[in-house]
Amino acid sequence: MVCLAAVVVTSLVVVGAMAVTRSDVPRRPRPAAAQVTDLGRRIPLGPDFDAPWMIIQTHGCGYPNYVGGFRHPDRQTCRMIVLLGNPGPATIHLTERFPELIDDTGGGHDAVLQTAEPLPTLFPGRRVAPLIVKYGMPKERRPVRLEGRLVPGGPVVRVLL
Amino acid sequence: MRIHRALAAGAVLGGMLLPIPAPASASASGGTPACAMELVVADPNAQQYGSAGLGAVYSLEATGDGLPRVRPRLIQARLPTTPAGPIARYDIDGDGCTDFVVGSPQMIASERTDVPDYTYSPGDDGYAQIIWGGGHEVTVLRAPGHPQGHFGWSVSAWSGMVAIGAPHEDSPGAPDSGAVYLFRLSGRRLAGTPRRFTQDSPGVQGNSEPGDMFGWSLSLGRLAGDTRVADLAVGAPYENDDGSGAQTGPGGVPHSGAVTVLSDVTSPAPRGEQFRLSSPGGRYGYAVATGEWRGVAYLAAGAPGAGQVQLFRAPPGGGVRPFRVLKGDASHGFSLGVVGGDLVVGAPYGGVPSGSGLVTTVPLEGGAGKVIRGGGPGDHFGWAVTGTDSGWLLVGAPDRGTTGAAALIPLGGGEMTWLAPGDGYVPPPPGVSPTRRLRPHEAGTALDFGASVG
Repeated sequence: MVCLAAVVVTSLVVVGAMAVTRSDVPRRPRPAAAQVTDLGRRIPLGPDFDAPWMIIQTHGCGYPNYVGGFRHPDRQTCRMIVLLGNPGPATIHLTERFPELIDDTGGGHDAVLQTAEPLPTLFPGRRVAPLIVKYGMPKERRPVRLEGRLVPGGPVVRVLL
Repeated sequence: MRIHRALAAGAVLGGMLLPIPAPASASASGGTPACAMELVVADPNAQQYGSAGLGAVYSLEATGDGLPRVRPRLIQARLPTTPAGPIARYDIDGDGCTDFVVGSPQMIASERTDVPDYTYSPGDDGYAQIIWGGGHEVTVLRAPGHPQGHFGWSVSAWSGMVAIGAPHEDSPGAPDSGAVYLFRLSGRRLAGTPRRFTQDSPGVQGNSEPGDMFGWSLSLGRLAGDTRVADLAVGAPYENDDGSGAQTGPGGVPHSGAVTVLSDVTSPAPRGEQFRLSSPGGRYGYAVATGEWRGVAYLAAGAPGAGQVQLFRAPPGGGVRPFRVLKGDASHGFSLGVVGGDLVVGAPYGGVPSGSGLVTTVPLEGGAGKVIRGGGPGDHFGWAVTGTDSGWLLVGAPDRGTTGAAALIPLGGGEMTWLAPGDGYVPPPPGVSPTRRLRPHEAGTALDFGASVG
């Protein structure tokens, strides 16, 4: 039900945006919609204001899923576009695995980087834009959140999708 | 690594989706330039045309009714705009139009400046762009011969000059010690090669030590020495307070930071004076701002790790002298601005709940400050601050909602007006097609609106 409400709110915002951007007449803008997701928000990977951060830009499911070189009829790929940044002075080595994806039944799914390379090292000042992460799961499943540790010894991040 | 063709993207930007009609050379010569642009807001991590992290910068053009009624529009720069700090706003060429300087420290642009065939990609060299007011003319600036310094991390502008910080530039034996470049301009043309300052330059106090990050923040102003010549304040927030001489290892007070004022920065031998507000992890110099009020110049330097801001006063001919230390919430001094007779201090990690953020305005000449709270949980209200001569503040909250937002606030108190891409007022960044339904990786996506303002 919460999910349905979120979809309805999102749809209304999008429809509203399309209707009004055609007008050039300035009006008082509406306040931002209530927070129902962590998408687009800076997720701190440490305790300080200059800690490395992660932003999940978008997620999309329904992409083809291949198993053993063949497209699997009952599975889908969910694709996350991720940005990472390190404004602080220390080099940050990330964990070996990107956080797992938790679906609507509570099941976990392991991440695969699109480039099939290890997670990048975040040197001081570096921004990674984008990192594309993929997850395979049954077609009927829906992603709910990301959960895991991205910096060894750092906080467990939980990102509502 | 993907290489994008900026020219092609620019053609799409200009031809289809951006309703700004002025030709590129509208204000360069002849006629009265159209100088409507008043404020700018950037989203350094926005996705445009299916490319993540290209960034977007918006102008907020005041309407005839005045602020807070604005007409927000995407600006078409020549190259992607991904600022890490404030955007500089000044009439650099003296034509009566406000010009903007935007850094893109985490991008690389091609070296070919002779043809409009710029290519760019993610990287650590950086560049900056002067977006000239009254038209679409853009000048691209780079750090000659010094790669991977994140050139454009900080920017500042003054009449006939632009200063750019590259805090991750290396000096011999001192990685990430940092550097600052001063570009001179004649009208809109670059005059000669830029002048480079490090902490090893003659007249600059201190030494280039590993990780100092000299140039993290900077501000041109009229602070000391000859009042007809600009001075430059430079922050090095990760400098350790470890005594004189070059130190290569840890020691002293770690990351206490320092601020250097280079007086008469365009003279053959600028004089440098260094200031400290020693506190472990204080990161003094994380933000700096300059301004004038009633004939007196002011410099503010933030130490957000200590929740402090040091205010300096510089009366004509009197030099820069510490005046007050202002204490506040967590991250107080993360962002700074001088707006009329007030100092504006952002504390995006402060507030209740933590991380909602707050902004404090304090009269420069003394008196009680005023706290402005505008953020919800995790909004980081106060990440970036600026203001107008007409008494309005523009405050960024880049983690408000999924897109980020910015608020226009009357300095004397009153209702906030929020702006956010897709709110029905600020256009969202463009996707790969204006007509067909887009999948998430194809859509224009705002992420960090309000992370930088100017």
